Amino acid sequence: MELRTAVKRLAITLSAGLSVLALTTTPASAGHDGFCDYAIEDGNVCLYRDANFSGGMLDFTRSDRNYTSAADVFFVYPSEPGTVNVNDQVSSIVNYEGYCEWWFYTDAEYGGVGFKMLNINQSYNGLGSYNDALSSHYKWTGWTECTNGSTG
Amino acid sequence: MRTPLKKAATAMALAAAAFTAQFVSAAPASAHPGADGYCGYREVCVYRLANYIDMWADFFNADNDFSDDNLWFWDGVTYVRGSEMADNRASSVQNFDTGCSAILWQLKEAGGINQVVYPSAALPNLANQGFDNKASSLSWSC
Repeated sequence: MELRTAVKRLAITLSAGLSVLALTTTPASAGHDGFCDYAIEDGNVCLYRDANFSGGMLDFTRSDRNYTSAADVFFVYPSEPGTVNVNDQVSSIVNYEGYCEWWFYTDAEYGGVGFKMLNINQSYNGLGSYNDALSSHYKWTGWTECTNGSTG
Repeated sequence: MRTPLKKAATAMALAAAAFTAQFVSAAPASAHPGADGYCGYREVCVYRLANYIDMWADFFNADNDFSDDNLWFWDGVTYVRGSEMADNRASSVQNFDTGCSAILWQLKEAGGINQVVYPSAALPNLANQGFDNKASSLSWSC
């Protein structure tokens, strides 16, 4: 058996043992499902624990006023929620929303200081002074909250 | 471990992806050895139609030329290697790797424009990115 094939099969076997297989070919459009989905008006913003989009990820479709909720944990494997809460732990961001913009805050309830991420800003591989500091975000159309998402 | 870095591809990705630090790998030109029709953990899968349907191809390593990579389908019993090739046929993509970005290239050997697919990311309609039916090769950035 070729080495890379063996490596792949090993990875797949380990994944199966951990119940982290992601075999489906169906769309994953909701937030908090471990997949960072692009859409024009219903896309995700995806928060990564480490810089350069690694270390675990959590995807959101809508606003989140407090990252300390029990559902706000990084996915380490596809479809497998981890145990680390995202509050004050985010170090890089991917924006897969094509219409609305995202506003990020250092405190819950959209408080403290923050920055916005427009729909033309697809990713930040590091957050500078906001590293490990974010605690809430708001999805904004430019005049009202962007609530077209389904969950998350 | 994936295939080694390739400097030219690395430079191109660095120039193309604002705000990202890319280190791009590229495999020798050959049909990808991990292909089996099974989209598993740490692979990227490209689909012939939007919304991850119809035929697909799975890649574990980088691939310099999609023209020798068959698309697969499920016949109800097992995965079957189809006769159609992946080159210029991808309309949606899912990256099942949680730590590496997959980079699709317009031309073989990491040439032309590219589309970054971030770790755990999915693009249901590559037409939204102006990249429908364009992908011809693949590299990874970890």
